[in-house]
Amino acid sequence: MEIKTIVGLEIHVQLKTKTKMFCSCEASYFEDKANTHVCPVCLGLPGALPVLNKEALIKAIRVGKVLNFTINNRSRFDRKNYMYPDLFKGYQITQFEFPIDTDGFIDLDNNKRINIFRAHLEEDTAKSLHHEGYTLLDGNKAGIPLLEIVSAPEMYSSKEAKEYAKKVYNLVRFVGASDCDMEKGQMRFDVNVNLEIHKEGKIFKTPIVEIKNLNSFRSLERSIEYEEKRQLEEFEKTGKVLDRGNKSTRGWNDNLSKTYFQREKEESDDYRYFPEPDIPPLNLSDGFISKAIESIDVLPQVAQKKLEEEYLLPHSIVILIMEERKYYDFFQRITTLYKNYINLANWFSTDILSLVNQYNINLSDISTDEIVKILTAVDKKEITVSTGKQILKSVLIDKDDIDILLEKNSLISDQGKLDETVKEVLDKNPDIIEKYLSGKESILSFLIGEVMKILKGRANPLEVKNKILDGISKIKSN
Amino acid sequence: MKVSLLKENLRSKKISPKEILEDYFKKAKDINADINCFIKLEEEYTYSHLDFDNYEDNLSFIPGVIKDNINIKNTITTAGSQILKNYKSPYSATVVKKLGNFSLIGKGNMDAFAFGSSTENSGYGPTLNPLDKNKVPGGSSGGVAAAVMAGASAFGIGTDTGGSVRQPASFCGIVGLKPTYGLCSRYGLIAMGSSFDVPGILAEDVLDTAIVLNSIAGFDIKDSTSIKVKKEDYTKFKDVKNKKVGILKFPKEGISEDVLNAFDETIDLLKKSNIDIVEIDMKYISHSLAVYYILVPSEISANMARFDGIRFGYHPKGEFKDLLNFYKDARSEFEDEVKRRIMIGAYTLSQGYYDAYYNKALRVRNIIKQEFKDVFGKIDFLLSPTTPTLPFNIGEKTKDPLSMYLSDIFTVPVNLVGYPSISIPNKKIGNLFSGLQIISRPFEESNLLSFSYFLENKLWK
Repeated sequence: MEIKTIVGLEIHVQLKTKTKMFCSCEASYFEDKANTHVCPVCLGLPGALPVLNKEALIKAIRVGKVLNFTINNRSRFDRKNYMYPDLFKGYQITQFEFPIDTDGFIDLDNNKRINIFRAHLEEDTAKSLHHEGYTLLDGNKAGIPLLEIVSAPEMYSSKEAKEYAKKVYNLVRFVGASDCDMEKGQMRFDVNVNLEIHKEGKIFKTPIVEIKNLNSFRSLERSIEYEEKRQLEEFEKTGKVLDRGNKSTRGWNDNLSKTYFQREKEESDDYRYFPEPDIPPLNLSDGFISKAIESIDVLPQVAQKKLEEEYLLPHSIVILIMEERKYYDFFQRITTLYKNYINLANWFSTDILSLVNQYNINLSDISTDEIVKILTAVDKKEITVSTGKQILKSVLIDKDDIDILLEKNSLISDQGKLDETVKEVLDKNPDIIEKYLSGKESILSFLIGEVMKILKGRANPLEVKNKILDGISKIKSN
Repeated sequence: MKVSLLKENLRSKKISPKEILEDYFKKAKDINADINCFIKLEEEYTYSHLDFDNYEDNLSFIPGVIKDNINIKNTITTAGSQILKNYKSPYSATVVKKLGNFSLIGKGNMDAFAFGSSTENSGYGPTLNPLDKNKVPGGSSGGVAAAVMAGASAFGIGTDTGGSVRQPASFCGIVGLKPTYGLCSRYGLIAMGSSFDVPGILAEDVLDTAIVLNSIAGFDIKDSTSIKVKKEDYTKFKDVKNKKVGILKFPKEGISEDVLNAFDETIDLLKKSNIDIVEIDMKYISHSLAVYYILVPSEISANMARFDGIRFGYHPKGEFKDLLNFYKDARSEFEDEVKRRIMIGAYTLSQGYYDAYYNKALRVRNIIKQEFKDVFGKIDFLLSPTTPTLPFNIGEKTKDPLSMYLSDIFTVPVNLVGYPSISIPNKKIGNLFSGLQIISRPFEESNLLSFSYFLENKLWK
């Protein structure tokens, strides 16, 4: 028996725009008082009319570009009719028949291509706040622009699904189309999953399950894994296979790490779609589309190529830098002044990033000058690597003056002084030398430590070590 | 009193704004008691909102009646339905803002949500025709038409989806203009058939209509279907003698003798005036009513979904087993005609029927559009009666919706194609009038009003 998991993903992305999709209410509402970002349009009051937000269109085109979509000149809005209290107009304005982006794809790291059917614009609903016996509605979220990105069912494991989702996440963020902050609900996943079971020369397909409203990569991965097990068990128990009308919807319980049954769709829902009469069909000029594409200052494909081919960075660091647009921007800023790219990449991926994350530092606030001064001093052996790291911390966290720190910590360049100090320490510690010579080699570090102490760390420990070894061998040969 | 005359009297200080208000509110109260043309008189609102120093607006202090499906900030806007009887709108429609410092006399009675042709579907009782109180005033803007005819207001703003301005204008013996779809903003009009609705003007004569159009025409950024056009002074009537006039050929069945005679007399009059006339036979126009009664209910079924009893309007009280039962209660309050059209629309859009009904109707609508385009390549104006009959009796057609629908047979095709058209009184027959409908090319309101003005003079002076 061979089992193949089949996964398709619908990713909802709240586009980052100044105003809502169809009105001029401010779109940024996180943690604001309920129903403070509302107007007759997004409240669906009688007589109000939608006006399309051009910025949402531009962001949808940017995503279209980086997910390799065909960006259509002609697209259209439709009304999707269903009644629910969080849908104020009783219909959602969406793109059903003619979406803005069609036929895209993403290549996974193993070069497997995942096709993406479409990305269409629509409006978000209000937020329901359920209480015992009553429900409150907050309209701040109503009418936030959404882009729904619908993949082909071409991911064959939870790993692939997660990789695909992560790539979409990175690309959408890289071009500034959304912050995709999942805790704020700016990116949500609906997963379609079923199994293809090859058994006794026959292929059985289990009923498709849609898991709705997942809001983390972890729940995405785990819910698929849970369904793989559950569907196989159910198949073995009941033999039930995919049929018209036995698609079901399940929710995800994060605490129990389980999906739970929500409803079975007797037949596909009838949303009575028809063209939205309040918004004329879009007929975007080529000029408008190329301008929207040009508004992406750096294409992620171009950026990644630069890191790989111009800077020759290792793959793992390329992936890390491409995760955040601000990483790339920071890296780029420094490369204009500092050309040892791999060294920079190492410093960035370890020390700089860990400080940034630990102390919540804004990368764009960091002075490139300071970073370059530290790296150059290390390169020129004016300071040790560990001193460099300490200085980095003092500069970033305590805002200490870089020049004073470098001055204070630079290695002594006076060889005479160094030789003198080594001699002084050796003279003072004949017993230690004795121990060393009798085979206790680890005791050497005590001598190095003594020298460094006197020199206040301003010497290269390796150099010190060599000088001590020289001194000892001189003593021995005497 | 006519708008033009009131403007003149205000300018020459023969009359003061206060006198206008006193005079009109007194008349309006009496008239309303007699024919129920207002859902609400707005005396208090108007005295407190009017700017008594602003004489500058085109319609400063001119008394107007606004159909009650057009939002006016801080007034109750019911759309003629009980479901909204306490709904106070928090914003004003663009057309209302554009009217400027006019005197709002009241909110005009109407068929609930503008679904109807007689104002008998109002949740606030029918309006009677001021010309004959046994007759309907037409609809759905019947209250507005009746108020203007009876002299309770100098002008009115209605809405026209399939004839709801022109038909009541015809029934009440006044002028009713349906502008081109896109010339006047729909923002703030409670939607019926969104791709058909337009705000329209009801007034005593063509000049008054043109004066009001000067105020309400123009692009509105809040209405994506409104169109940018050159600003015009519609009161500057042009010479139209060289224009070519088409006479619509139509089957005489179901058209009353009075209407036919009046129409024929007008054609003769045009011939005598050396107007170039040609008979126009339109092949597809007869399908208009069928197309209309598929597409409009389809749009209605979505437009009415927001009346769910949750955020405004009628709110069900008590405990409900589930959401469905809550909705059942909330939406059972709709008037019968509203329920009928929601159900028709939900059906024509539903899976398995969409292609047979909605999509086919959409295709026929496009064919009719092409036919209009072809016809208007040959002529400048197309004439027909406005309605097939004179005003019918109250209660005569309420049990028979199909025959009620037929009263819009001449007006509906124009909304399918979005062209402008006007109804002017054609002939007085007893106490009643028959109306003449004139259609012109889109955004040629200036020509349309000029020709109407010319005809009005020929017919009535």
